[in-house]
Amino acid sequence: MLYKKKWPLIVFLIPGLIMMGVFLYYPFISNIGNSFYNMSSVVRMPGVELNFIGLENYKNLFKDPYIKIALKNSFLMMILTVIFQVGLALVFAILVNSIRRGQQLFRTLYFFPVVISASALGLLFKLFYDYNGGMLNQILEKMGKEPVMWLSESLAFTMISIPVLWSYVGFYFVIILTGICDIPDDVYEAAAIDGCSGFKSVFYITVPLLRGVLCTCITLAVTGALKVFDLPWMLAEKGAPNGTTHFLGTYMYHTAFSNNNFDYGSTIALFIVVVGVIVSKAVDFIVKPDKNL
Amino acid sequence: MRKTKKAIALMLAFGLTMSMMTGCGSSDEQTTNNGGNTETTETTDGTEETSEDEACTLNVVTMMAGEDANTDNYNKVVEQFQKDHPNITIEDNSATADNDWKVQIEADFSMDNEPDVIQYFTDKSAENILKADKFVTLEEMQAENPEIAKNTSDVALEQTKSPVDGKNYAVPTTGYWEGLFCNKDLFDKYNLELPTDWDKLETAVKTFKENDIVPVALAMNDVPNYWIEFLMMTASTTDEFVQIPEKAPKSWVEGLSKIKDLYDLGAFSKDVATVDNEMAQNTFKDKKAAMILEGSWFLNGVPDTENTVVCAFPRWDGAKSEEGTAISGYSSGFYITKKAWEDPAKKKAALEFVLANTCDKQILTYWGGNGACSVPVPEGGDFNPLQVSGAKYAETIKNPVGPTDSRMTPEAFNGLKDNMVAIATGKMSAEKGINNMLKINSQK
Repeated sequence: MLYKKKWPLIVFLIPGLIMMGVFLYYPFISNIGNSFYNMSSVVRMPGVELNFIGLENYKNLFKDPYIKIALKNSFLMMILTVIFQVGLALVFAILVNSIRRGQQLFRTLYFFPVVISASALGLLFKLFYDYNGGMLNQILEKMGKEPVMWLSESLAFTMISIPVLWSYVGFYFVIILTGICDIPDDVYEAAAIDGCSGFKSVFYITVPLLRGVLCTCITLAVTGALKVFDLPWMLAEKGAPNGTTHFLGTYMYHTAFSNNNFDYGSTIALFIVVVGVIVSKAVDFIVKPDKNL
Repeated sequence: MRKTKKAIALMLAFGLTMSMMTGCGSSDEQTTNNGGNTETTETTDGTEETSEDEACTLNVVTMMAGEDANTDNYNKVVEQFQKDHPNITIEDNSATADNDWKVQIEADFSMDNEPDVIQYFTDKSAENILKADKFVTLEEMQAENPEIAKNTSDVALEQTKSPVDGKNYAVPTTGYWEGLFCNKDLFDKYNLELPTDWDKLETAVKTFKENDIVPVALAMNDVPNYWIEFLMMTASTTDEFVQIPEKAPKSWVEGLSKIKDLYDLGAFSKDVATVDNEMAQNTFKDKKAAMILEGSWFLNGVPDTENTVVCAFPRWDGAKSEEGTAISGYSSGFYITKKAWEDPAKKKAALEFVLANTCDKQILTYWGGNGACSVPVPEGGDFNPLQVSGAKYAETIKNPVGPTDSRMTPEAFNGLKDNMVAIATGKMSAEKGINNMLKINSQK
C-alpha cells in the first residue's frame, strides 16, 4: 500500500468531486429535466409554473430537418478530421522528423494555429471569404475573373471545413512527432542494414510502432469533431445559408440561445451526449487502441 | 449664535435655490413633494429644519452602456445625481442589452437579487419578469411623486402597458420607428424617384441592379425582422396585423410572399443569405447599396447625413394598410422593483433616480432627434439633415403599430426568421413559414 492513511487522499479528491458535481453532473441532470418542460427562458421564475410536455421535444427531434443536416455535417466532419487532421499531421511529422535542420521551426509553424483563438481565425477567414471585397475575390478580380460566392449552399460546408481542419493539424502533428521521437534509432539502423529503404521503413516501422499514438489521435479527432462550434459559428452564423452549415454544437446553441427555445436546446444537448458516447465506443471498438497486434 | 444660525439658513437657502435651478428632478413642486436633495420641513416651533437623503446604495441597471448612443448622456445623469445626492451611492450595472444580458437579468430576478431600478423592455420579451410580479405600478409611483411621467404622451403609456395584465409599470423615455433609409445621391445619379410606392421601388431595384449597385442591403439570415414586419403590416389592416391568429391569414401570406418577388427581381446582394447585419449595414453606409430598411437607432451610424433620407415603406396596389401606418412605438422604460419600494430610503432614492432619467429635459437629451419622444418636443433644435428627414418621416406616422415579435414568443418569431431564406428562395411557402411560427407560439 502506497498510502496507509486514506483521509489525505479524500481531502484532495473531494474538491474536484464537488466541482464536477456542481458544474457538470448537476447541470447535466437538470438539462435532462428541462427537456421535458416548455421553457421560454433558461431561468425558472418563482411563482411561474412550467408546462410539462413529456416527450414532445424528443418526437420533434426525429422530425426536425435541421437536426438531420447537423448530424450529417458532424459525421462528415469526423471523417474529414481523421483523413485531413490526423492524416496530414502524420505525413508532416514523418517529413519533419526526417530533416536534421529546422525541425524546431516547423514544429512552431505547424503548432501556431492551435494557439490562435478560434474567434480570431473565424474572423480572418470570414474576411477571406467575403463576397464584397474579400481577399479571395480580390485575387480573382485581379486575375480578371468573376467573384465567387464562397459561402453559397454548394460551397459553404467545404469552405468552413478548411479552417476547422487546418487549425488543428498542428495539435496532432506535435503528438505524432513526439511519438516518432520515442521510437528507438537502433530499430531503423537494423532495418537499414537489412536493406530497408526510407519509404519502406515508414510503412513497416514508423506507422506500426505509432499505432497507440495514432489510435489516441483518431479518438480525439472524432470526438473533437462532435464539439466543433466556434469556427463555423463565426464564419456562417445560424447555419447560414439556409441552415445548411449547422453542426450539432451550433444547432444546439442556435436553438437555445438565438431562438430562446431552451427546452428543445436541452433535448439536442442530450442527443449530442448520446451520439458522443456511441461514437467514442464505436471508435474504440474499431481501432482497438489497447490491443497488441 | 444667532449670526451662525442666519449664516446656516442663508447657505441652505442658497443650496436649495441652486438645486432648484440645476437638474430636472428638483423643481419647486418636487421639493414640496420630497423630490429634491434637501428636504425642508416645518417643525413644531415654527423654525425650518433640513434633513438630507437617507444613506443608501441604489442598485441600477439600464441598457445605456457600451455602444449605445446614450451611454454618455446616461453617465452624466448618474454623475450629476451622485453630486446632488451625496448620501446615495449608485451601483450601476448597465450593460448592452443582448440575449446573455436578458438571461442574466432574469436570473437575478429569479434569485431575488433584482436591482432597485431597471430600464428594461415592456413587450413580450419582458413577460417572464412581469409574471413574477416584481415591479411597482406607475400609479403607485405617481401617488408618491406626481412629477413622474407627468408629461408622458398617452401613446407612449399605451404602448408600454404590461402584456401580462395591461397595467403600466414602466416610465417610457424614447421610442423608435422603422423606415426605409435611401442613399438619395444614388437615386439622383440614376435619375430615379424615391420609392414612395411599390412600382417606383421595383423600377429602382431594376436600375440599380443593372448598374451593379445593391438595391437593398439586407442580412436575411441574421436580421430579416423589419422586412417580415413591414411586408405583413402593409398587406393587412391594423386589426389583421396585430391579431394572433391560429392559422396564417391571407394578408400575412400575401405580404410575406413579396420577399420572393423582390429576391427574384434581384433586390438583394448575392450574399444576402450569409452576410451578417453589420456587413449589410456597411454596404449601405459605403454607398454600395441604395436602400436599407432599418430603425431610428440606425440614424446615428450613417456617415453621410447630407445625402441620406428616410422614406415610408412603399405600398403596392391592393395593400390594405392605412396610409401612415408604420412599425413604431415604445418598448422599454424605467421600472422600480418592489424590493426597493419596501425600503423607505431606497424608495425615495429610486423615485429620484427615475425622475432624473425621465424628466422632460433628460428625455429630450436621450431622444436627440432620433426615434420617437415620449414628451412634447419644443420647436427648433440643432439637428442634422438626416435627423430632420427622420423627424419628418416620424410626423407622417399616423398609425403606429408594434412589431410582430412584440406579440409573439421569441421562439416563434425566430422560427420564422430562420425560414426567411427558404421563403425568399422559394424552398418554402410563406404560408408554411407563418403557420410554423403560429404553431410554436400557440405551444409556448
